[in-house]
Amino acid sequence: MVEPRASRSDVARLFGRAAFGATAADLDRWAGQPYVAVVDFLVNVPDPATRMPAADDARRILLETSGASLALNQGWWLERMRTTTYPLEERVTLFLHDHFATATTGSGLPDAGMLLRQNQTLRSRSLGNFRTLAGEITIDPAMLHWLSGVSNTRGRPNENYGRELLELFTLGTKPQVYTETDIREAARALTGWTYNAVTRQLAFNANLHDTGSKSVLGRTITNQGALEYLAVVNAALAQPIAARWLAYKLVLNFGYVPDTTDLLTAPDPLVAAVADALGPNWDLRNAVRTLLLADGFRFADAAAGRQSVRQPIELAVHAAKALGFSADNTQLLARLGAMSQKPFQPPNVSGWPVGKNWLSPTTMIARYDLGLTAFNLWAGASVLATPLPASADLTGWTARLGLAALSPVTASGVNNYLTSAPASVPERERQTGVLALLMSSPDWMVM
Amino acid sequence: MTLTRRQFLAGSGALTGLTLLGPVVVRSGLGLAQAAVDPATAQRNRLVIIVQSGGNDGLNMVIPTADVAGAARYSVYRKVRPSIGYDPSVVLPLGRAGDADWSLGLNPKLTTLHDLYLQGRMAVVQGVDYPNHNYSHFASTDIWESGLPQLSNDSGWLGRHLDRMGIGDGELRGVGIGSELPLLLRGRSSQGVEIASLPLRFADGTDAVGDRRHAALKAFGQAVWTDPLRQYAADQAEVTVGTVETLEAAPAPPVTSNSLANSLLSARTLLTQNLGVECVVVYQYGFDTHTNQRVAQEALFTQLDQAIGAFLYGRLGATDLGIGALDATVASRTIIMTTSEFGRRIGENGGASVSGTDHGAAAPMLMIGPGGAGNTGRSLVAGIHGDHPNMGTTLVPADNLVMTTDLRTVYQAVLENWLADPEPGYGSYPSLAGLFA
Repeated sequence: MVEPRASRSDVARLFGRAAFGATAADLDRWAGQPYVAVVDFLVNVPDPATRMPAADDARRILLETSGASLALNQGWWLERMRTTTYPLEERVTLFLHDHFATATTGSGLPDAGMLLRQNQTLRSRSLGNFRTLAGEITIDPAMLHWLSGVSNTRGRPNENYGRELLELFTLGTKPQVYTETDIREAARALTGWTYNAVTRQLAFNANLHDTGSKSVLGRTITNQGALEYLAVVNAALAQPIAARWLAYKLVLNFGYVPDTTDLLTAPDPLVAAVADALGPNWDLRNAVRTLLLADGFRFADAAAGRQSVRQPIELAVHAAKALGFSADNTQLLARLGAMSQKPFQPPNVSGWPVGKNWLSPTTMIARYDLGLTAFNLWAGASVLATPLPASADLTGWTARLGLAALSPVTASGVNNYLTSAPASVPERERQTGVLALLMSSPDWMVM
Repeated sequence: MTLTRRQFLAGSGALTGLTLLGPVVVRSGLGLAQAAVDPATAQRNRLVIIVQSGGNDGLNMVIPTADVAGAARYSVYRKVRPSIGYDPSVVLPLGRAGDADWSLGLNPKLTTLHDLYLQGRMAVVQGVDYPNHNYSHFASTDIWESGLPQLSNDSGWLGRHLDRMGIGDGELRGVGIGSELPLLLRGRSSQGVEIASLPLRFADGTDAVGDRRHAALKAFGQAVWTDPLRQYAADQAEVTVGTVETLEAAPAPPVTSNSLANSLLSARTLLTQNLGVECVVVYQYGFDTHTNQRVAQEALFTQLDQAIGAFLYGRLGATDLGIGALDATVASRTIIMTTSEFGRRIGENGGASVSGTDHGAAAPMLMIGPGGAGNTGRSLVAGIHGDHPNMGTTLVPADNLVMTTDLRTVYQAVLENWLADPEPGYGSYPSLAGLFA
């Protein structure tokens, strides 16, 4: 029989994967509560269109239009992740940013402000209707620049967005159900959308739109002008594989790497359940709730590798949250750069790596260094910062870092470090070492 | 300096008052290479692969300059690329005294490569691809890196080569420069190591403060974990510390404004230290030129050309980097080759100077060798290899190029003739004829 009450490890894992990590207070508050109540606490986010803006929303709106540097925009989002009342909303927004991966170099187009506006579009739909979002992203200014939509015109189709819309954003390739012809026809239907970076006006230029008849995934699209982009999105999402592809991406991002090669004939059971939960309204909230509640998520077989390698952004924000320092700072951003995961800078249109691909000597060194940086940022945060546990107090460290328990190997490793250090080694140096080791331990990275 | 297994065991019982999940079980280590010169390495041939990520447009790299008997190449090129095509007067002709007339030229930004060609050190392999071309960046990258034209590949062609050479995990024989280990260097029983740059160090340094901690980090991987992903993370911690121990003393290469040159300069140091490194993989990003191709690709070619100059000659453009030319012995045993997941569409997509090209298929590969035999007694044959793909006619230009050279025949040739692989694994795809002599 399934235990209805959440254990400390349930809470640590739920927050670790879906809420940028737990704090000690989160563990104390939710352990022993009904598991469903913890999930609903995370999932029940008021509609961003009608709720009171948060204190940092005004700064976001300023950043969008002020031509502020990319680093300021990145810092804003990281700090929002740390401080939000609704961490799942930011976590799904990060998932959607990875899914509709759009990047800026910080100069040229798309610029940082356009990425931040796209970010708010993602956030506003993060627990809403994915179909609506897919339409909005298709004519999103940052995306129009990133995937050449602004160059896609009548008689001169540019296939860049049309291909990735089908391959990455809606259908996947497990198996590939679209053809090269579908891509070319979709590109024609998407012609005519432009964005003026000076006036910041999105426009549909009918003169640049291909008015001919197109056939996308078996649907004929004729004379719908500025609505044809929606017809393309609808044609894609009408494919039976579309919901399963999105569900696959959700399980991949929040749960584990599903060992599915054919989503149509042999989907992972959790993927199939999450796809069903999307329903006709493409309801992301219900899909994510179904995912987090599922036994296939909660009791996923770790011995079979069904765990999540947390992304660098999750680790950095969790560090800031657990230790109590602002995530909006250049040192943290530099460490994220060394781990190759800065917000608004995915490596390419397929987004960031997943799973084992996050674990290489390059990123391992950066993760360890992040622990050193985290100690310094804690030390510099405030004289009122909550003191860190004594170096040898591993029980205290475990709770402070939002973990339910330490694996014996990690505990032994930390203990060996402490016993190897001569008595003359100062306590702060010991604490720094403990933190760096815990933040590069498998317990912290994989859950 | 390194924690021994005995010390590790002795320390593991000292914890009290903490919830633990089970006993610590110690296993044999990963057999990491240490910072000793590997006597075999000095003799070994080496391979550097530059992956041009995004789909490098081959037709504007190796450019048709005239029609040839039975093939309207230049006139088709000119017709379908009115804005982004190159005039024959500006390209660098690929011809040496006594050559057949290839009617091909290199992009004008590739002056160093052109010079290498004239010296008899560069080979161009035309029309390389695999059957049933896939136009997805990601699927096609997987196929190129795996060397297996089927999807869901589990290993790279160099990774499997390292397997066959009996390489252990973490041994520094195949190294990637970057953040994510490419499929290319993933084997079935072993895998390469990915590093950011040289020298490789933790931020808390290499004195007693850092070393004590790094020994503990390394020990994570010397234990048995019940969960395979945590085991992998722990193994990577161990590999990381072992790699740092090997490379922290390596000389720091110069840091330039050219990111590809920086990667190649780290590669150069790895190869010249004789630490066992045989294959290095570096990436050059930005070739997905759907728009503004002329400007974007020329910048990338300048970066490539200067980076190869830095690697071979220690000069970045006009700047002397103060490191001299690549060691002559290493140079005599090193081949550089470029790959990209696909070439691009024959026709430009916009009809204006900011035009680009959409995803296409077959494209040329470049290979640069020492101009003589390496330790296998085989040498790369400079010049043009393989046939130019059919471009159609001016009335009916081809849409995409169809391959003339199967990539497996190139890999087979490299494995068999250069890397002394005992069993290259492409039995039904014999080495491309004439690429090595």
